[in-house]
Amino acid sequence: MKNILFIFTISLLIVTGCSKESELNDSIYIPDSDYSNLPAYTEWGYNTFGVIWERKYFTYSTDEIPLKIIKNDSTISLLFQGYNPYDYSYGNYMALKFTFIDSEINEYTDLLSYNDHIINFIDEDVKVEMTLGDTEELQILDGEIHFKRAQKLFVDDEEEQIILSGTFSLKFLQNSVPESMTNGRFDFGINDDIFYDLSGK
Amino acid sequence: MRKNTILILMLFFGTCISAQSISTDHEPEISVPGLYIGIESGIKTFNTFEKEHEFIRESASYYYGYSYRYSALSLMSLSYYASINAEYRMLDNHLWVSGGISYSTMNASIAKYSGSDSHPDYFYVLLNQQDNESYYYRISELRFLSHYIGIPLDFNFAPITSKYFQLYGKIGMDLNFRVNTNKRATFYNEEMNSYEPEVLALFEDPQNFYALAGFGGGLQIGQKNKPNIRFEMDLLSFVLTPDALSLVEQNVAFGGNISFLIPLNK
Repeated sequence: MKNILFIFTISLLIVTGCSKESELNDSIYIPDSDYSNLPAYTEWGYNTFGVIWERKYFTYSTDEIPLKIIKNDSTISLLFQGYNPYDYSYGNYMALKFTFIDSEINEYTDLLSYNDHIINFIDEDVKVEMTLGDTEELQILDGEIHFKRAQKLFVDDEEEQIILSGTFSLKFLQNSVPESMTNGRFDFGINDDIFYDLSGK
Repeated sequence: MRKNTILILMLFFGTCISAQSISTDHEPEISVPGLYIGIESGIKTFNTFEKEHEFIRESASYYYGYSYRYSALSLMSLSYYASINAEYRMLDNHLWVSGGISYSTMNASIAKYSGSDSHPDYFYVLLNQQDNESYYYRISELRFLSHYIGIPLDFNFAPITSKYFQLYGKIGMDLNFRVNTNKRATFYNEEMNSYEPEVLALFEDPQNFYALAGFGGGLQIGQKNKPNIRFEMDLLSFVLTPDALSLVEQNVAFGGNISFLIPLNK
């Protein structure tokens, strides 16, 4: 009996150990035809983003989950995580976090309502933070994020995730110097793994 | 490597025989027999590239440091052929011109064999996208098998001839006309097989005309007025119609063939 249990356990371990990951979670880099250091604008859920920051590029990193969505009571935050373009050393983390009021989003599938939706960064209830070593709230001069397309993705007729694609740009003050981020684009596949509900916590 | 070694040995052996023939043969050259008829069968393998299909998710492509593109899609195109040829030999048996009719198959496929536990053996095809819904299907393999009737034209030059062996080089062209194509899609999830017609309908049929031109060389065994057997390498063939296949793109081909010829006018 012990032998049978042992063989069963080993077989189960082998089977589960060989399970294959879905590539829908990978980042797929398709270069932009004009800015080869930026990912092209796509609507396939390639899990990429990129923006020209002054004359450098802030893009997704293969070391970080490129997007986390954080619900916190009445607000939603989109956390873009990637490379610090001013630091070529290993682990050069940078993040941009866009927070705005939206109490309608309770789970990731509710993001479908963002189809063709624009959020203006100069609205009072919008906060943009940058993490570059320290985290600081940016004094926004202008900018917006445009969710061009939100779509539900089915794989083999089963609902798999939400694809959120769009563009963004912003102008802000940093150490009293005006700076800009232009030509921003993103294309994310979103499922429950990257949706965090911190309401009441 | 093994093929190269065999070819070098064949060349060396043929050269030796030829040298012997030059030094020992004092008989006059046998008159040119002229016309031969033969059958030929061979295989060509192609250098195959990914064709841009906007409905295939680029899940199979990775960039390392953004500078190198590696496609994990397994692309293949392979041709088998058989032909009946008439050959006319001239210039004291040094120049052979042949033409005929051929039947060939072109087997082209896109598949995913990652060989890795961390990446699956399928790729995604977008079948339907409407409003705010997109439908992907996981495909293990797409395979197109096309049948062609063709006209092969070859010019062979044999600088080294002996009584029993001839070493020769050739330039040639193949003009092929498509008869039909069988398409097949293998789904990762067999329950999705009912979508095969829709997935295959995303791809155009291969073009009706397909052409190759290239050069090669080989060894012919047999006396001049007797049946000959010929072993030939297609060293490099250029695909003149790189877009002819709808599934993949090609640029060059390599291959080999064997043929058997008999003289018609002894």
